[in-house]
Amino acid sequence: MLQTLRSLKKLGIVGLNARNAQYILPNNARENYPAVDDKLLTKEIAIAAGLAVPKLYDVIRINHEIKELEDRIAGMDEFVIKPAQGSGGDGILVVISRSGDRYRLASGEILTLDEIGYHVHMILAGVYSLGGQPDKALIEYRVRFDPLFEKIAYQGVPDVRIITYLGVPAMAMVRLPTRQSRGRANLHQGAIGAGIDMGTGMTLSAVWNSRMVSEHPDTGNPVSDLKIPYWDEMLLLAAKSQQLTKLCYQGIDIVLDRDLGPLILEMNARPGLAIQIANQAGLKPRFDIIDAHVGTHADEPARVVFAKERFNVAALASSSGTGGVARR
Amino acid sequence: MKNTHPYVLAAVLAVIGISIFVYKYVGLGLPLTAGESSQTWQIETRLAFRAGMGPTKVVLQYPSNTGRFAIIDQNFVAPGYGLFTQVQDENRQSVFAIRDALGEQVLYASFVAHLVPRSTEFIPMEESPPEATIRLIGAKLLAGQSVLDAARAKSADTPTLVLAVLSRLGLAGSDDRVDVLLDNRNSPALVAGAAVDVLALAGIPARVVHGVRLVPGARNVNFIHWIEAYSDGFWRPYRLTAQQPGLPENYFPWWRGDAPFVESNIMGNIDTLVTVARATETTGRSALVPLSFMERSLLDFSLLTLPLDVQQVFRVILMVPLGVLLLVFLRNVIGVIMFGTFMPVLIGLAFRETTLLWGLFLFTVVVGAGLMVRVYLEYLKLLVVPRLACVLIVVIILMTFLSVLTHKLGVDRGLSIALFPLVIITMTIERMSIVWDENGPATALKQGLGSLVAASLCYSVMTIEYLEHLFFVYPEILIVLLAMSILLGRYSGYRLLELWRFREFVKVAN
Repeated sequence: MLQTLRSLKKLGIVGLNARNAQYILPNNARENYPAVDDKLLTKEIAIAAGLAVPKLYDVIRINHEIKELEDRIAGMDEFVIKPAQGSGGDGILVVISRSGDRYRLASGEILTLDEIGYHVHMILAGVYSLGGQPDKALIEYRVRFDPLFEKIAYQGVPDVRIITYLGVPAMAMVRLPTRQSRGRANLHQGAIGAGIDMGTGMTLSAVWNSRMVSEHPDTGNPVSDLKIPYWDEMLLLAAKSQQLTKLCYQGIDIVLDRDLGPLILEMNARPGLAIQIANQAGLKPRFDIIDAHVGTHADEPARVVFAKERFNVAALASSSGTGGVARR
Repeated sequence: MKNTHPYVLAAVLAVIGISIFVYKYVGLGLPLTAGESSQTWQIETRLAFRAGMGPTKVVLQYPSNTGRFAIIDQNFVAPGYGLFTQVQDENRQSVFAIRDALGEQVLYASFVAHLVPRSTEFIPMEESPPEATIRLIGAKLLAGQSVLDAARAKSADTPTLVLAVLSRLGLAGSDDRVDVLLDNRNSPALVAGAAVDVLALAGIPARVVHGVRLVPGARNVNFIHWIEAYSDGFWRPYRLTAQQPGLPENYFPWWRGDAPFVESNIMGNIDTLVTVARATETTGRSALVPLSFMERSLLDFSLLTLPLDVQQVFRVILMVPLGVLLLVFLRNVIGVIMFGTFMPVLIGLAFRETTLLWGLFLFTVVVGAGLMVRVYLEYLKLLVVPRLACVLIVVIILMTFLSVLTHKLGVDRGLSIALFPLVIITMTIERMSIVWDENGPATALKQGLGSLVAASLCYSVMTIEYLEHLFFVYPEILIVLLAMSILLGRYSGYRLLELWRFREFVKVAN
């Protein structure tokens, strides 16, 4: 037990208490939360700043509108319905095709219009929202993910999570849905997390259910040593996102569309700590480096350059040996 | 981090709390433990009623001639009321009278009774023995005579005859003669009255005695009944199911005869609540020893001056912060996951009434059955709030059913299920079923188990009698708990279960 404690300290692993007390409470002002907690607001702010997001088709705000659902989604064959204030990927419905009034979901389930209406009602009633308050349902563009991910994702949409601290991208991972996670990209629900080398955008070690894995459990394809396309663009999106939300410590989720490139899916004021397991590295050493260089970067591209220089695998290995180097 | 404010605040609070504690302990000599051997009891009656227009008079039985107990102190709280004492038959009564009272009225009468050591419960009677008056007539007279004859055949003297009559009357329901005497009903008070009537036929003077059992911290005490019969110059007490004359030491006789506990001229009901507690040494001490102004004002502002039934409530309330602190520790230092912020404390409080194992069993049954109903409701596609209402109603139906079932099975512990916080249970079921849907049964069961473990721990801590007494006499400990909570609020180290969560790193580090 003490052995473990010492190892974690040495690696600079950030625990939940430390995350809350040392990073979230002092850095993230409560008033800035709505911008990330409400995905509709996030989307509006991002569009205003010229950042790419999945196109919003429609918003359903009151129960009465559910009756018009048929008209509203008429002509759409594929779309996503999600709660504006959902958490952990709950309550998201991904429709991939329709025939008549039957809608096929990414999971293979087939729903009728009534069933979709009921789901929208559940969203409005706040079943999936943080704290259970009434919510809105967003209908938006369904991301068709990049062919790279076809071999290593099961049903859902894989995404790239980047943690930024004071506007500098600090750590990243790619999250791959599995059969166990039922298409969702959350590690605690059974998705795979693969760490990413900040310098090159290559995937490193991967973790699944707290165990190290090298292949996707459902497809059998390797998940390490893959090059994430548009890596520099993604880092730039992450660096810019801090300007939007004013949150000093945040996570940003980016999906890769095969036609549209990287799109901001959502942002998170309380990103989880599993990213450390995926990268086999602690966040604290990187935050310390960022703290030591605060105010020295000219603009967002400079921050990206800084992150690529300081947080690539080779630099971290040589700098201290405690920065956490992942074994391939 | 560099911010020292919370630490300074915590230190100041801790110093304040501990100083008051030390002063009260060293300076005032308040007891650290609840003297178990103390045989002084505080017995308090709370009367609540709605007064109509005009003069109101309430007559309350006053304990007198109380066997082994001596009334050493009494205290009435009845603002605006005139207070008199009257004697009626063998009882003394307190009379509260007021010319104009309107609306809700609450009166308190409190007695401190002391068990006189080496005393006897046999009450000597110097004057000529009282006459036994025969009150039975008609069919009851015949039935009574028949019961008496049967009992007389199995007895040798007055005490054995009394016991034989009592055991014969204990056959209510299977003996026709007894049923005639009791009008086909059965209750301890009726049996005691019938025994007195039957003994009168044999010329033995007897009377019904109403009293309470002195148990520490008993709220809403029910009256118990026994009889006293006269023989050889003594009134000897007999319990209704006794094999020999005499009473347990903790039977406190209150009044005798057929008079009710409370009488009044008002129209509505009078709510009575009798509370019993072991008197703390301070209650006695402050009355006997002259205290300085400082000491007196500290004691005057202590919880001990509150009405007894409110005191009992505060004994429980003061333990809640301890449970909450334990919960903070479990969450932020151990890392246990559970439903709701303080739900386990509320469940733990409910366990006080049910006892731990029964509480766990009933809780699991109700939540488990509720979950099944919730799964079914899922198919009906109901709106959220009506669905919650459905679950709540089903939970109440389940509780009603379980109460009746356990009662029929003779397990009266099951009745205490009614004390579970309904809404909390409903929300637990709802939360659990959503977690079940979204994150799978493993997570839901893990959180449910975490909640139950936390509730059990809270229960175990909140029911330690020693702590209960300590917190009640020294409520300033709460200030120290506040300081500890502030410190825990700045804890940024690992949670114990995170060591397990991040275990993969250890291999890397080595």
